[in-house]
Amino acid sequence: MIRMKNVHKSFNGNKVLRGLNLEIEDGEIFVLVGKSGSGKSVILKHLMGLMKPEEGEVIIDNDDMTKLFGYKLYEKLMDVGMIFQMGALFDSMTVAQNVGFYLKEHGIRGGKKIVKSDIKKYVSESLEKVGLKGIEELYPGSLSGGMRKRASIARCVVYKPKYLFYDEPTTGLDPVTSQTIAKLIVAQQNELQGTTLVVSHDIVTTLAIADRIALIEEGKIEIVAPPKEFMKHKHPTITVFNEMIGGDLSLIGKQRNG
Amino acid sequence: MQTVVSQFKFLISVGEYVSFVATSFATIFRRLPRWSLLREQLYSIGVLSLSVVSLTGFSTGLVLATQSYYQLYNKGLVGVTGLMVAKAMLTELGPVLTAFMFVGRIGASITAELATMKVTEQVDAMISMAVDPQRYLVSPRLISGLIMLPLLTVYSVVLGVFGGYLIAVQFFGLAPTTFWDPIPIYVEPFDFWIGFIKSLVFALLSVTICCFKGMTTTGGAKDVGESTTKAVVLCYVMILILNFFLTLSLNVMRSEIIRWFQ
Repeated sequence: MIRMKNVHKSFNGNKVLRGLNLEIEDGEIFVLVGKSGSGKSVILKHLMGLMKPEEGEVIIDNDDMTKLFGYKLYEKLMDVGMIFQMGALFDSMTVAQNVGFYLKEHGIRGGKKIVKSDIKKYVSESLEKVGLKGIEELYPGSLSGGMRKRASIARCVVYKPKYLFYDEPTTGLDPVTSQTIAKLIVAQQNELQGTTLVVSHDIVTTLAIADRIALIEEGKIEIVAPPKEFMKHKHPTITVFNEMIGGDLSLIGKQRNG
Repeated sequence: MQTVVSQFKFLISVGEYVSFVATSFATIFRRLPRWSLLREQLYSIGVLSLSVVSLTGFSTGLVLATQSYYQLYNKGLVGVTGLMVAKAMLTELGPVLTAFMFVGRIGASITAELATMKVTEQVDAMISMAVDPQRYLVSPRLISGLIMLPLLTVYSVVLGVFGGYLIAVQFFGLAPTTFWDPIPIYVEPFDFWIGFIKSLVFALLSVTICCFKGMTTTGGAKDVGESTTKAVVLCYVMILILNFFLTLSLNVMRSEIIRWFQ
């Protein structure tokens, strides 16, 4: 379970998180929506231990990420996978080297030791899952935005992490590629049976994949609810979301429930 | 008020740099980087720098011997040309010029590469996969720099003396024995150690400054460029300042040791 309790964070005097509280249950796809600059990505960085709050707790499986440093933090991060907004693939490595990076470094997959000779097989399987088989030897520079994101997903799911975090996975992509990414998110959740947190401002994808949606505004969680109830709220931002989809609630659970 | 703030920021930066260097060494002593990463850096820092270091060392030797010859021949001191080239290359020009070339070729590329990785979240991605960037990115570069810069300096000194020999003997017609003979008599082990210690200190300084600047870059492409420029300029300034203090302190130390033994 993931729990953030009374988290405060500011940058140069600008308060980004103001006593944020959040609970994410095991096994759910939880989507965090909000305007740009509302602190969504900052939450992910706190969960990864890349940022420490000025106040509050960030708990993952009974471990407070705010109190983990050095090798204890790295040990905890072995269970976590993060898909960055721009993919963050290593430019100097091929796609296959990127996808096999974790396996090569730790020799562990889903908590079990693996033999190094099997890495190639796992990389191939992972790339096949995201529809990128055959591009193993290409470098990230020659991939499109959508391919980079899919390769980034392959890099995370290959080691079967317990927690998967996605930072704006469909931003800047066309609707068809966005739908492909949405399908992948659900497929990975179904396969790994872990916990998925998606940060997004794409309401169409959000409704299609989410078990629960949270709205963040002014550094606080305003509303947390399953998609149907979430869309019924009279909050101005949700009204805008409703206008964007023309009130079409048939999008809800489109990917999640098949 | 602004001066106080900027001085405070400067002190914070120095503190962060010292902490970065300490963490880098702690990481190396805790667990050495993988051989494949080290080999890649040894090749990139050492082997790929050979051409530029060859040119620097050889041309410096040529110029040094030419200047020495013209300054000394009408004073009857032409016989010390070889010694001047050897001493100057070994104690000053070899370490300093090789370090300058090292910073220009390797240091700039280290800062640019790490800074690009930092601003494109590749470093964060590495951390998210439970891989310590200090161990994966900094340690191999630091170890390779500490091994390769002293070796490149020795190589540069040898080529410098050889360049000096070529011009003095082949062009100015000096007898080979006149060039070589004073060298083993007057060049002492201390001259070698002074050059070696300098190159080691310059390597430590250059690699850590360049890695630190790269790993602390935030923003975008413009900031990567700025960090690279700042790193290179800072390295040059620090090399020049430290070169003076090292020359002074090592010579004072040498005099004290000699006096102590007498």
